[in-house]
Amino acid sequence: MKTPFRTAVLAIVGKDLRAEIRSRELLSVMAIFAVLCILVFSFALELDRGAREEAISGVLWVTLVFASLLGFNRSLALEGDQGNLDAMLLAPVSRSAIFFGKLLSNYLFTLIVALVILPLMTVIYNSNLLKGWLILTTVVGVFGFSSIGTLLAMLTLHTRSREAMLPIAMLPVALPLLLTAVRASTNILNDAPAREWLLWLQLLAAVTLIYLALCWLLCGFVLEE
Amino acid sequence: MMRSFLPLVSLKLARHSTCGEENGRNCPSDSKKITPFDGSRHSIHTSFVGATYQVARVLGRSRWITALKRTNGTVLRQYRTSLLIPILIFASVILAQGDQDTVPYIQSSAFNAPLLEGWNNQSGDDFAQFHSAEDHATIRTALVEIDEPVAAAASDLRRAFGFDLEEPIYQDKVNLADGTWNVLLYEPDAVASASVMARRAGSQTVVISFVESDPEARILMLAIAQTGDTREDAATEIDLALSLLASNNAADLVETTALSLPSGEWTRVVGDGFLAMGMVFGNDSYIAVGEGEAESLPKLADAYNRSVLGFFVTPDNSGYLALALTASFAILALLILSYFWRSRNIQKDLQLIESLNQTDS
Amino acid sequence: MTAKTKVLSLRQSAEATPMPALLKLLTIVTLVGFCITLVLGLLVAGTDIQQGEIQRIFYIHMPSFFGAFTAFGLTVVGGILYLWRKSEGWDRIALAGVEVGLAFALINLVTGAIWARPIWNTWWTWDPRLTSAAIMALTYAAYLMLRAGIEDEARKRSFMSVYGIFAFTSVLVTLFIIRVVPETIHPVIVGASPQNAQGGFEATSGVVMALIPSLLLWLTLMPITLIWHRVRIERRLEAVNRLKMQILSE
Repeated sequence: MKTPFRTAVLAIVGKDLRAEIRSRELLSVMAIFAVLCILVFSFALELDRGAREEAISGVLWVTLVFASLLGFNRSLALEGDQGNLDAMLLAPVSRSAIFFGKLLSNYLFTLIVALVILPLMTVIYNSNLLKGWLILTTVVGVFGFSSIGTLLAMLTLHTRSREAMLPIAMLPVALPLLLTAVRASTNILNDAPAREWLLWLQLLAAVTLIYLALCWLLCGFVLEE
Repeated sequence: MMRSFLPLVSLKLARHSTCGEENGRNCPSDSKKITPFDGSRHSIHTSFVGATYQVARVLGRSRWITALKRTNGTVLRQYRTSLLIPILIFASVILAQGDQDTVPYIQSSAFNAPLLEGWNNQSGDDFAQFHSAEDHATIRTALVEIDEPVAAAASDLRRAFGFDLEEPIYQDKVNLADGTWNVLLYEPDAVASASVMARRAGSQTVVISFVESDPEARILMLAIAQTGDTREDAATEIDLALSLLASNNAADLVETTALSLPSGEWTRVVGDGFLAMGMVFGNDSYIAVGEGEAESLPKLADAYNRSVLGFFVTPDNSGYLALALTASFAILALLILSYFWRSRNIQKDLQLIESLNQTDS
Repeated sequence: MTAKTKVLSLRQSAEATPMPALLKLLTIVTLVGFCITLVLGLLVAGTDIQQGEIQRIFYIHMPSFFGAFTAFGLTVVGGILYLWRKSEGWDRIALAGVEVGLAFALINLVTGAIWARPIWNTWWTWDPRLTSAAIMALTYAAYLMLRAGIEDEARKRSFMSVYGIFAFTSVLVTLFIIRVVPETIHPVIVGASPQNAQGGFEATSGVVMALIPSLLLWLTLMPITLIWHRVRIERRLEAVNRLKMQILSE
């Protein structure tokens, strides 16, 4: 008999959290990478006040995507290398439970990184990023990236040179998410009226939902032996 | 297939002639940028749907498919089928040719000039010329093999009208989207006057001239650049033009009216003994001044400025077309060659396996 | 099945087989159609007096995008049906769709760039539509790279089916991006052009006359014929590879 879906998902999330609390391997790498990214961008783009307002949401999302790529690769590689994934596949849980467990833990870690860099960027770029709607956009967008990223990380797990493959596979597919998320957050940051960004936020939510549904339908095929 | 839906599409599109006067667009002033396709959007859609439907219907009824099923390929060997191919090519060529665009333009080998309706068309191979007998007026566009605009203008006027020109009575330059034009006004004799716009085009010069020889009237046309930061209205510019021509004075202005013509929105002023029109378009003002019995000034000003604003040279970029076609064919050829290459490799591998097998046994 | 009969049957399926009659017909019709559309576009249709001869490349540029659309669409169909039926044939169609579609997408990009040079005075600009079209091509290049990177056959097939389905979003983004991102300069010929589109021309009856046959050809016959031929080669290729494995394992 199979373990109930919710129990299985929570067990996997719990396992990842416990492992993370003990090793602090994943979050620290992602966070340090994200902070470095922000600093490098501010030097590389020589952001003055005008350019900053234009580029800031782009910097935010590119940083988040790169940091999450790093995290997804690492988190799945840990599962794969130590035979954890095979063990989970042997356990009487549904495939989608494994997928959603990994998705949720990946999402949690990326979200924590996002919530760290938002106040950090507020300080470094001297522009208020801690707006309710922007945080909502981040919460939704990061979920979209996490779902597609987790699926593709499972897919690239078995390829040669998987570290290089995940960005190549994920960045083009994540384009609709990136496009809508950057549009929405630029307009929110510039204090534009709601009608200018609400559509983008809705589009982002719609794309996220579509990707989530696709991932849910297709994760079974990716998690075969 | 093609035969069945092409007429349908052409029918739908036939009523959307390109420069659509019926929907109130003014062609010549728009023609620097050919009007974006908007009015016919709907009908393209419907004809797409219609065409697809027609194709589906023809395919559904078609004996091709059933015959193919029944004969299992022998249909290919029937020579009648191959007869269809030239017929198909012929039909589509005829159909496509019968329905070319209808831009009202004179297309010479070197340039395009708007066709002036209602004028007597005297155009030749390398020039466009329109004459109106009742107005004693001629509008001429020509390409002259002289690269100095003032000399080119004089030479063209001499060749076309036999004028022996001295110094122009007025001379200036304006910058339009396609280059710097020289504005020249001449009065070759007591009755005739010539207004010329000339621009260098490579080693040649484009000369667009308006020549009028009405004994009752004297008509001049010119373009002036709007200088300064603020854009002046047409009435002020007419005033300026009058002072430039040193003929009349703004104090004589009696009546100002707006006038909408195919070439644009004009302002008309009536003064003591003269009539003037002005239009502000882009960074320039186009002015026409008539003295004496110049009732036909709106018609003439409209026609001349349509010729000036509507003139353009079709760029020669067939080299790029050749490059693009070569690139497309190269990519397709690479794809198809890769098929042959892979197929040959398979064959080689099979032969290798075969020979290995034979040495084994 | 004994090893010997297996080798025999593999060798048989690796041999070139005569083309089915329908494929022959398709190939001939496609070739003839291609010539007709070339004649229509290059000789019969009038020269655009604004843009000059280069406007004729439009009769290849736009149809090639729609050809890529069909090919990548077949990849999605092939992917879904492979995941459902687990029949290798569907996966071959998906792979062939990617290769043919990628070639078409490249034609689309290259002709667009060459057109842009005289009309926009630049080979390339980071316009939303151009960018998304380039990313679309890169997505499918990534497909081929990923595919080459997975060793296990069955895993490769199902993984690439999944990726082929996701990759189609880049096609949809390219198709619809001008509707959502208005600041593009790419002209739209059918439908309303964006405010700042540059280099549009009028879809006069002459243009439509040359465009519709070309569009229909690239949308249907060209990708289907090319994919079919590619699928036949892929089947033989797989048989040869298995034959090699079989002989090596003996």
